[in-house]
Amino acid sequence: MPHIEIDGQSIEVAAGTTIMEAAESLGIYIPFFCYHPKLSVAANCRMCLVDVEKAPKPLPACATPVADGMKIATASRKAKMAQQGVLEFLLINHPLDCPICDQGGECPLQDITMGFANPHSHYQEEKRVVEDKDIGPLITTEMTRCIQCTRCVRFGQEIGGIKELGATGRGEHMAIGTYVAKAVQSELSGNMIDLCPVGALTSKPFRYKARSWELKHTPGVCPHCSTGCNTDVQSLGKEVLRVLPRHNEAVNEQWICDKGRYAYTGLNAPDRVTKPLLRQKDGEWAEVSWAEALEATLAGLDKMLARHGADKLAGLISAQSSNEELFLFQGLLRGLGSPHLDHRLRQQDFRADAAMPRYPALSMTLEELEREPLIVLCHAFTRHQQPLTNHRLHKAVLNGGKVVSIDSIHQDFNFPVTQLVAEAGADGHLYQQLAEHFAHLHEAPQRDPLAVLAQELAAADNPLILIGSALLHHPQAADLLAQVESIAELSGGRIGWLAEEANSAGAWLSGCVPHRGPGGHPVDAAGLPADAYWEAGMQGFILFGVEPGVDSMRGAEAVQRLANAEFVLSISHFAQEARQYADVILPMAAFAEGAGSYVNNEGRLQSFRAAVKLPGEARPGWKILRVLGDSLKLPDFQYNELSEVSAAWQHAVGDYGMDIPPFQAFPPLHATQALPAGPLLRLGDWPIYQGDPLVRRAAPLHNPLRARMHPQQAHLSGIQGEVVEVSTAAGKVTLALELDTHIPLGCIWVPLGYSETAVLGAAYTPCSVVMAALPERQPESLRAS
Amino acid sequence: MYVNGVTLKNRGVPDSHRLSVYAGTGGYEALRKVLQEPMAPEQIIAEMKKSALRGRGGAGFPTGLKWSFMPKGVSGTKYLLCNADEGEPGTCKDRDIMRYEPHRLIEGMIIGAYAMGATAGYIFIRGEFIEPINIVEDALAEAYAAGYLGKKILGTDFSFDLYVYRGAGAYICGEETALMEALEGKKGQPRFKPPFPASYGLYGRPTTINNVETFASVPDIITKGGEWFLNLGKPNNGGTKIFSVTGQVQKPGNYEVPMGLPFRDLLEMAGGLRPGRQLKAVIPGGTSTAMIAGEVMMDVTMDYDSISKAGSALGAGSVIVMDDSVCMVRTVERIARFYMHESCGQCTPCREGMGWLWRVMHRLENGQGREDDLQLLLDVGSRIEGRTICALADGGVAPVVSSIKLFREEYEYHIEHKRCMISMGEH
Amino acid sequence: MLSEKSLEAIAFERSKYPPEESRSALLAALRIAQEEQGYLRDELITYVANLLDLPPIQAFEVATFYTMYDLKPVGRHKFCVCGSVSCFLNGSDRIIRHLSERLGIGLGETTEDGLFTLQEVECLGACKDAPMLQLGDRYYENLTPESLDALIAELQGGSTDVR
Repeated sequence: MPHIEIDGQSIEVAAGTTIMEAAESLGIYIPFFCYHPKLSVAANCRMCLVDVEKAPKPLPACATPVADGMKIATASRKAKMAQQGVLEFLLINHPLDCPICDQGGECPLQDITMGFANPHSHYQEEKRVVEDKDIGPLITTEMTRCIQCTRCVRFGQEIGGIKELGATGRGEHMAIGTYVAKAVQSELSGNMIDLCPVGALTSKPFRYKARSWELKHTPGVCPHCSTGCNTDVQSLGKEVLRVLPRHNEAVNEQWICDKGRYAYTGLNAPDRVTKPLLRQKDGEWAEVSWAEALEATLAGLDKMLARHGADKLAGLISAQSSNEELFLFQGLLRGLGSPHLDHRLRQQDFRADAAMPRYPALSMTLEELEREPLIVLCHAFTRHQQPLTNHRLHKAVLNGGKVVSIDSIHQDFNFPVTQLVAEAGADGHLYQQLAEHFAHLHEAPQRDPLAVLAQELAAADNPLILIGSALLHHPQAADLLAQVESIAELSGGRIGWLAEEANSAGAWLSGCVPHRGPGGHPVDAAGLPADAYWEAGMQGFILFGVEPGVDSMRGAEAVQRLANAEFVLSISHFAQEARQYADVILPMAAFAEGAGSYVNNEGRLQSFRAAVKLPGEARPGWKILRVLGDSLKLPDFQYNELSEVSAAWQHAVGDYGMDIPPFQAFPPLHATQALPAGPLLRLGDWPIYQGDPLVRRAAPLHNPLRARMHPQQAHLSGIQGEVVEVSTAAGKVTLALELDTHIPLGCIWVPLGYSETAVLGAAYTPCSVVMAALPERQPESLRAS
Repeated sequence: MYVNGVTLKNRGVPDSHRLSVYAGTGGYEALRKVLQEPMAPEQIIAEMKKSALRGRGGAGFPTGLKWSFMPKGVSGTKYLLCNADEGEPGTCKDRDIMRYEPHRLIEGMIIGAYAMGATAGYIFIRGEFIEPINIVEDALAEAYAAGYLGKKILGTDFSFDLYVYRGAGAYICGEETALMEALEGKKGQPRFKPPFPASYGLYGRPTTINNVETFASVPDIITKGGEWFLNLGKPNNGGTKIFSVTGQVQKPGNYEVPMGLPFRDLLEMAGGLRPGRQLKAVIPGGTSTAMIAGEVMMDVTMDYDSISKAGSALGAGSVIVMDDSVCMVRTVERIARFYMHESCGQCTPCREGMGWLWRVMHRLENGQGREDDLQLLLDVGSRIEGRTICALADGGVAPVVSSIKLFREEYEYHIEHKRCMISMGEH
Repeated sequence: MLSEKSLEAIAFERSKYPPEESRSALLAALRIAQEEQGYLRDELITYVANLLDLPPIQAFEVATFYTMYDLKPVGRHKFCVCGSVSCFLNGSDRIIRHLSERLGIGLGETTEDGLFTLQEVECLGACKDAPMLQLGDRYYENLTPESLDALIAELQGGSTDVR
């Protein structure tokens, strides 16, 4: 191991360590711009030049590996002259517009200038101006400020899979950008803002909102997927102004996705509720006091229970809810005598419920995921569903691992993935074929990709099979799960689950499923699962943070049932959908307004605090549930502090490991659930920015609603225009069409999560498609402006 | 004296670019010797070391030593590249080798590939050299047809494929790692070293790269011996070297002469100065090397050591002669413009500094000089030098700084009188 | 967007490099596209990138870095006059001025009839034959006002010998 000396301090470091890394471990600061520990070394800014004994020239600390006996001075005259010189060059063409630059106060160029610059610049020529290009609604560019460090470009190439950004031109005309104006298409794009060491890339939604030093920082946990990224929620007064990643090497390293970064912009959506709302006799809504609203709730519930009994009462809760809320919610429903509660609004097939694990666990840490040699994704488009878990898969591939995806469509991964795509609707057949290939492993050589995969699985040491949420959304989910289980057995592999939402794990552990209570213990009498409520004639509903109209597979049917029910209580942040069917709407704390805890996909318990005060008369969800339980005189609702609920949750849930058995005894599935036939199969799932009430309302995050179809299929179906009418047995809708070779023949992809497409009902159903013209009036946007 | 006797031996012979002409004058004998005698790769490298041949592209690194760096016993492809991206102002020798002696270059590369175990090679020719590109392409086709290239060369187990790669207009691609980037289809931006090309070169594979003239010197070294080549020149400065003598001489041209020839003699070969003119200054090795005052130059001999002692460098042997009709400020402004134009843009001091130097030079030349401009130029230069990934920026600083040192009074005259001391008139 | 002939030429370029290194053919593919269509408009650059399975930005980076790519239309005959030091010392400024006056255009401009474009370029590696210029695939060396006039006359006469 080389022994070196930096500024008189001795240290022994591993061979290959750079001067920068060695200095860091000694706590010696060397200024830099282009260097970043997570990116490849460019050594182009030249800010980190240091003085190495016997070297004729100063050397860049970021790129120079140490050698035994090296003596390095980071602040000698030679080093300082080099650093001052570079800084002067960086500043000659950098505009001195710090007073109007959003980066001010958190700008490495500003800081390093204060610390290292010669106060006098010799430059008297004209400064360069660089033309700006619009790169979308998330990032403001001010490229005249750019110092060409190329961090953003390297991030795009190496991490984000952002293929739009580069450095064009040469010499002093080298400019960072997209060259042709276009929106950067990456769910990780916002990280480039954090990486930019100057004000060239800043957050568009945050622009001119505040100065960084005015902001209050509150540690948060992202509520938008099961990775559980740690965030730094930054607020001014009552308003959340931005969300940045909080460094946690074990979870999100130092990144967050755009969903986590920008969803907060939905907090001020026009339909945000801040006062209890009560439906009047004439059907109109009135703002009322909490006392009045609670009284009406108790009366409504009483009446409904008296007329129909607790067996007609159902509860649906969002898996974005905290453990504390989930725990209280199941206590409330079960306390009222109803076994019917669930958080799985998107699932259709519940036959495998008994076999499900205690909670959907990755069964390993995110860091361990990076070192897996062979990973099979079963209906899991991690890039959009868990962007930073996906990044670990990306790293697994960079480490020499292989990722295979089995799915209903081709997915647009941002790293090389071998994709096996089912023929229209034949997902079960695909898994079955894969399993069958294990009987013919030695019939080499194999060309069929399924046969190759079977061979690779059999040859691999303990391969990893990850089950994605789209598999659970499938109408034949139980059949597919059984097949995946047998493939795991045949290959001697492990199964892990990619939990769908931020607290899906917590929802299972807290007992928000109809067949298990807290801790995953079976209940005496199992209730019905979510999808059954619409047909089962439920008369009373307690909804917590959900919008069944767009959050469930059969949205239109759900809304209709809710509208016909005798009493519906919606505890919610937003009113638009609830106004269609609820009797009482209780305003609840939204993201960053409440405290609580989540269990992420790994099984990691993480808690968060409220960052801002509650708007209007909104109340934290757990308090609303506590008051209800208390008012209904249910046992175990006498909590005063959140910590008491947390303790009760801990006690009820008990110990749960991170490594859990993937299935309990799998029930025999008597017959394969058949898919009904039709001219075309309608596929669909929830797009990245349509997955929960908050993100659906975030204006800068926008998924244009489009149906997608293979160009050849469009031709076969006689479709020439860009607009189609899609009809299923449930209803029909007119949509813009995008031709896309990712969609298999015989199918059309129509996304879920939109009120417009809710009329079509569930995915994987037959449909027909004809050419059409667009409706004149576009539906009103929910998104905050 | 051994003039035009190695790399430009056949220039002037009709159809010297044809294989038949080359073969008729002993062409490909060296390759036969190497493959059929056979000579062990170590022997070839030893011979190259003995010859004291130093890289002719400008850096002057001993070729035999460079060849010995290529790792042995590694699996996978090793590459051999030829740098024919000739583009430094004053340099025009490789173009003539390719036009008149393409087979000499090709034979040198095949021998190099054999010595280093390379199985594929590219000749990176600047894109503007369309005539030389066509000639080299034709020569490659001839060499393939004759069995000197491709699989099982001359019936041995040795195989080597060689292609032409056309540049697209960027001086910086003459820097070897920028050239590799360009060959990979990227912008020609030099790589930080280490790792060096011998371990991480083209496509991350072990790679050796030499200049056209270097390769063209190889066949004769093999047939006549390293000792012979060394003795053509002087110790540590073996062989002959082409000097491109340009600028204000009566017979500008490429002169291949023994290393160590007095500059005085070279100037005479180039027809001497124009009538009535005095030698003002010489740039001895291309614009990236420092200027030498005329009277000093007259006592210098043309070899690495002597020119280095005079405060400059032999570079690629690109001798730019300036007589007393030249306005130094105007000339250096033109040179500074080149470096601004050719900076790749990645390193801060170069990207920002080359333009700064030119802007100040431009002001000076246009009568807008300020009193502190000379100090400013020297200061900016000192902040650029030695602080970038490659040597382009150092090359851009050298003419500015060296000309201020030699011709300070001309600069001062520009500042004071807002015009040239020596009018080049309607130049 | 490109002719069969150009596509074949690009495929040939690809064959010079290992199969996984199709990017190596990018510079050549852009040149071939430009030779066929006169200059590289954005759509053509994108097309070439797609042809080689590369993200378009990689092609834009390259097209804007190297000077031989024309991103805007140029005349049928493009005079690229070398203005670097050896040519400068031998009167390249006078050559440029002469061309400019004869053609009635400034540097970087194209004559109204679309026949001529005038550019000053940096060193073309023919310093011993200064002053010189490049026109199409040929170098014209040791230029004088008279030789330029003869050249222009030849080109205006529609000579096909010079490109």
